[in-house]
Amino acid sequence: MFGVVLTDPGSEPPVGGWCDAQAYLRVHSGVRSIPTPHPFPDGLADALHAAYDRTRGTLAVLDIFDTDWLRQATAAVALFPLAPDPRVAALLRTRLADLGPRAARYALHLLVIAEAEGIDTAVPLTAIAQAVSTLYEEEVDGHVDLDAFHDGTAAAYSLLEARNPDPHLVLDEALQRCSGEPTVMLIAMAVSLAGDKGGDVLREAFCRAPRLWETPTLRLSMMPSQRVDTTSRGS
Amino acid sequence: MSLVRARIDLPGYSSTQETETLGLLAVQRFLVRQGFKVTEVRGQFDDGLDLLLSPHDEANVLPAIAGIQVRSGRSHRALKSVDTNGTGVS
Repeated sequence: MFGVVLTDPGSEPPVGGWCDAQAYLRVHSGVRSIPTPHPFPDGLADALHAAYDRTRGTLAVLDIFDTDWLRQATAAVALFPLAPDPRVAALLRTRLADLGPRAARYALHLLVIAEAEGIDTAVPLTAIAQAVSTLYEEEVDGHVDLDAFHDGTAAAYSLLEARNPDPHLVLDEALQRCSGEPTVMLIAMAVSLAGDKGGDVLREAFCRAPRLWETPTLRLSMMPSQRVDTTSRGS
Repeated sequence: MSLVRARIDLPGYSSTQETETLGLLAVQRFLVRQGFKVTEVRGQFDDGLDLLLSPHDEANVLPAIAGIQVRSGRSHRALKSVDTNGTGVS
């Protein structure tokens, strides 16, 4: 609900102001009048469009619970105008591990936005790791969505940076996955999160899972001084 | 026998009609130009809601509706809020 007060509607342009009455009443309950501080029509159209976007997100939110991955993805996109709302973050926290690749990509971005807004999303590390694994799954159309793959992985890392978990716990999650690209990417994230101690994390990864040595990306990451004794690696 | 006080009692006359209409037209003209579909609320429902609007483009097919109260004239400085009778902005 918006309001417009024109003190001189016959002038050109009309003189007056506008307000988002509903937003004002949400903060100031019980008042008998609502000020219209914004000069008409500056910003009114944008405010109305933003209100519609929030409404559309609210209408779409239930599809986050759908088992259809495409519906999930559509709902996740519609939630972007509501990303700074802690309730949306709480919703995504509970659903992140159960979303399809495209929806997971958008959900990770939404959670990054929430963290940037100062919301403690409290997303478990396990859910983020699961989302990274999901990004590499085939979509319902039988294809891996490369945009979801690349962009979602970057968002997952940004979320990890914001959550600041112990890199060794990230490594634990990586090694619990059934290998492949998700494991490699999670190990790379753990190494990066560890900063100066990234070499230690990588060395630990090779010790715990010697087959990783067959992964060129990780093998090249090892500086000569950091290399483990490859003669002792298992199969 | 009392006389009809034309400026106050005559049915169909309102001293603020011109100002109110100009205000509504100004807001409607602006919103239509901004791509909204605008519907004026019939005056019989005096609940503070003057215009209903929805986005009007090929990407917006949901029946999303916002309401606008328009008040016009130099005596107005703010919107009326809800009173105990439930009239006004809600």
